[in-house]
Amino acid sequence: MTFQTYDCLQMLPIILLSLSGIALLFLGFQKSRALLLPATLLFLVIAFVANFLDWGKTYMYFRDMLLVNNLAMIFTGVVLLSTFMVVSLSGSLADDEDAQPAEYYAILLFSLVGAIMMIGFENLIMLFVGVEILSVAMYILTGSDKRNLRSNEAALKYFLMGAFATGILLFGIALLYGATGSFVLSGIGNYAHSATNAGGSMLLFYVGMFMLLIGMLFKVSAAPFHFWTPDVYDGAPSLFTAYMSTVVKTAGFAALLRILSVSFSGVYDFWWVAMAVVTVLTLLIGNITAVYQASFKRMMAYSSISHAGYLLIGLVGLSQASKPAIAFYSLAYSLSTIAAFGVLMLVARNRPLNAAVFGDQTTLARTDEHYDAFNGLARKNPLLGFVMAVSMLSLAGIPLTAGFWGKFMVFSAAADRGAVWLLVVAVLMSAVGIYYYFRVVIAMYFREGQTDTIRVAPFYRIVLIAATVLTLALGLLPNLFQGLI
Amino acid sequence: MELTVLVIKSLVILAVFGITLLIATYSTYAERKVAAFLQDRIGPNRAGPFGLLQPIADAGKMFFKEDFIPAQANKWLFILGPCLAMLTALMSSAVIPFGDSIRYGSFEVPVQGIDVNVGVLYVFGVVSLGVYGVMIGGWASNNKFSLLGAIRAASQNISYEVALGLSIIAILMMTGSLSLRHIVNEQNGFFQWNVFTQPLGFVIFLTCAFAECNRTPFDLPECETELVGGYHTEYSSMKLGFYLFAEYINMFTSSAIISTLYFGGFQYPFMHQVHDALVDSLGSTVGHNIATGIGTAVLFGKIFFFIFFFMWVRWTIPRFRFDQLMNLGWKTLIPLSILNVVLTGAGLLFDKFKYATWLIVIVMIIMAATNAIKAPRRKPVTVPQL
Amino acid sequence: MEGFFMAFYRMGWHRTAANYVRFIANLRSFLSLLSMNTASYLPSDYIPIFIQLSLALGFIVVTMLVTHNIGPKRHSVKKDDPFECGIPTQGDARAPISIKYFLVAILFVLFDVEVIFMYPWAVNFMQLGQEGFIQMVLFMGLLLAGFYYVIRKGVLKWE
Repeated sequence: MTFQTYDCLQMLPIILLSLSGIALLFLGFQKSRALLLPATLLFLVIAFVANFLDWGKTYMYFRDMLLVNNLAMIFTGVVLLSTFMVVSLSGSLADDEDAQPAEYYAILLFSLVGAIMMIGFENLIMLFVGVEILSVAMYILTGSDKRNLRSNEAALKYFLMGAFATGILLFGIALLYGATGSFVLSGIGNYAHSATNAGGSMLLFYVGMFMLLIGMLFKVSAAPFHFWTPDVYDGAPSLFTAYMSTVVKTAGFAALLRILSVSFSGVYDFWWVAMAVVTVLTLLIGNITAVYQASFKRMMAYSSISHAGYLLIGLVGLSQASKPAIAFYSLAYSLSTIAAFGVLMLVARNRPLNAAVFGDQTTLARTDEHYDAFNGLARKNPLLGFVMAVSMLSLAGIPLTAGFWGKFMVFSAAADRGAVWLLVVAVLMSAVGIYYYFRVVIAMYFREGQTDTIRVAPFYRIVLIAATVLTLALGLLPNLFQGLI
Repeated sequence: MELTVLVIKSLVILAVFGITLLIATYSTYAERKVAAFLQDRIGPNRAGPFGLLQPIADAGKMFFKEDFIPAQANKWLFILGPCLAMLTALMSSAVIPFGDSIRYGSFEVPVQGIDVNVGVLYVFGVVSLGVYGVMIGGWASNNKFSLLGAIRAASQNISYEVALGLSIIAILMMTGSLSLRHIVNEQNGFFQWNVFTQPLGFVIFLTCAFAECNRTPFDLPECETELVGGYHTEYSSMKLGFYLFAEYINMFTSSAIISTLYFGGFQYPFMHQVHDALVDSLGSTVGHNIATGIGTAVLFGKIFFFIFFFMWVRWTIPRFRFDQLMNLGWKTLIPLSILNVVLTGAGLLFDKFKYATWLIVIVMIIMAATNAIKAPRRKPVTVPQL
Repeated sequence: MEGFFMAFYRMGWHRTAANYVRFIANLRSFLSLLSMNTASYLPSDYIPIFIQLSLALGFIVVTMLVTHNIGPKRHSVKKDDPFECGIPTQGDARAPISIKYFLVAILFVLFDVEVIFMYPWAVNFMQLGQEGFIQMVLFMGLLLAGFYYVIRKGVLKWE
């Protein structure tokens, strides 16, 4: 058993985040909650800086358990940035009597550890551990609004479905191990290459591979494994919905990308049709169902499904180009989603639903998250209107926003593989997307509504502006980011 | 496995089984006698000379009582509960080494049901199943008192199991084996007994053993003043008998394990000299077997002492309150046993020094002494003159 | 339309379809593999445990049967009720109980798993040496940090 201090010091983000999570738990014992938010942000910044210390090098850590290279660092950076933004939108937690901000922040940091493991895993055990850390944290956060029945229901649904999916994932890992005799990604990849050339039955391997993929596709909410998504995203507090739809998705796709490109690239011919079918289904279901939603938050849930579809296109057209494409797409998607949820939280907070209207107690803690809530928003709050509009444009993939380039890169990766019909579906669905994304913009700018000027905390404002500026900057100069990889 | 060896083993198991039951039966008698002695009474003296037939009379009475099952109870779980409690109690003695070995012809068979290399884990595995018996029985009775008793029993047992498991770890670190026989062989020589190398571990283990057996001062699950009869309120006949019997068998097993782990098992001072002398005078087979017999007798002496100790404590110390019980288990025993492990490890790494945990004991004694000195003297109570 | 199919062909759809067919065909051999009797290897060392188990089971079953059949049987409505100190029974005992017990149970699971982690370490303590010791102290440190948190949160507070 060798214990190299070298090993430990280089793998900083995981260790730092774990320790700072524990530190936050203890900070929570203090009477004042004022210190929690800045401390969390500070820890995230430290982790972010530590993450990029190794820039340009490739290391294997913990006896070949985790790999750190530039791509992993980029993904980790995206995840940390998204978390930073989500956390900085959580200022109101400190005033909420029922909330336990110290625990929430600590859980967020712990779940980031899981996300980073999913990004850089070299061993399937690490993948499983990462998925579990992230998922269990999400189950808790989904149910964190304890007085709200919808939140409880969402947490229970998420937990039950997630537990099933994890079981399938683990089963897949076990079968893969049985077929290949290895947990290591490259070992499995070698087996796939040599076994396809040698011929003979690879049944165990294929079953294992599909079970693993199903488990992972569940986590990124791709159809037909998406059924939990709308209820869970809708029921969870908006803050954690934002986190779930960005960080969890990014980590899930990073993991899928890793395992597909390292282990399963040798059997590409075998899985690509299945993945293409999943992609088309995801695109169709996500986009078309989103059209029929009356609630903005629920629309965002379906939108996140549809974006999973776009990201899947990058996986179907697996090539060297799809790695930066998926990273860029994740970043663009995360930025605009967080900005949109940031505005939604502000708008919704000012419009608590009247319990008497609905006549039942369960809606007591609910706020109005319908499209109507945005009516006339831009008149009194031009900043919020602009932020929302830009993020909607970016999500819809309109040029001059980051979302456009994200879609462009992903599509071109698929086009290289000649999957033209897939692109036709994707472009059609993007057109559908424009419809429901623009409903908000129309509501904000062209509808009459009674909105007051919404007071925005300075830091909150800065984060929203930063997200918008980044979205535009990446839209104008996509090479800024691409040059990194 | 050779058939002869298997036959001898079966005989050993049968003997151990019989002895276990016999000792458990006579523990009830002993308990009443000890109680009587401590409370200055006479105790059972009607059935047979000195009341020696009393346990048999009790067993007969139990058999002929009505086998009662409440209408609201879950019938099969109600029956399963005591059976499970009894089964786990009877199973746990399988791995205890009761003696060195028996020579028969060319065979050398250890006096032990089975010498597995995971003996300690086996004991813990089986013992921790015992709580199911109580839990199932208490729940199936569908009686509030039984339920409360069962839940208390469960939470108490699991709470003390953590400290129990932790206190053993120090011993495992010194011996490097999970086999109970190996642990006994390591305690070669009087001051090598683990009670001298692990004084704190011994105290923790003893306390936890009391709690695991639901013996006073940890007998809250069957606390008569609060819960009628605890988890066996609804039980009668031999089902009740099984619960009570299981408790006494557990007491025997715990005593045997304490003797094995901390008091050298079948070892005694000058054992090797005695063994050599016997082998020299009576031949290698007979002499060796007699030496083994002496070792077994010594082990049973130790076991009887601990059974007596169990009873002694029962009639001396009052019962804990539930919060006191939980605080003792979680906030005192667990941290102490972790400290014990760390200190033992440090001592072993530093020149294989085995007696490091005496440091904790000394510190604790000093602290207790200073506390006693600092504590304000109580004024003598003045009784008002009537 | 023909071009469409050609595109499929070029993308290797036919190969994949063939693979799926092979997959289905292999499913049968896979299932037959599952149902095959694997030679059950019984380490003979463990026979004594089964002897003891059968002895214990036999004792319990016989005792239960005997005691069930030789005792008297008398039923009545009042007698078959659960005992509640002589007053009429109120409901049954399928009522919720204090959450504290569940918390203790969960804590037990956590801590017992940690303790089980320490067993293999303890057995190999001498071989692992100083490095292993430092690692385990770190592990225990984290464990104790969590323990302290639990206590400060008042999980173990019984009033």
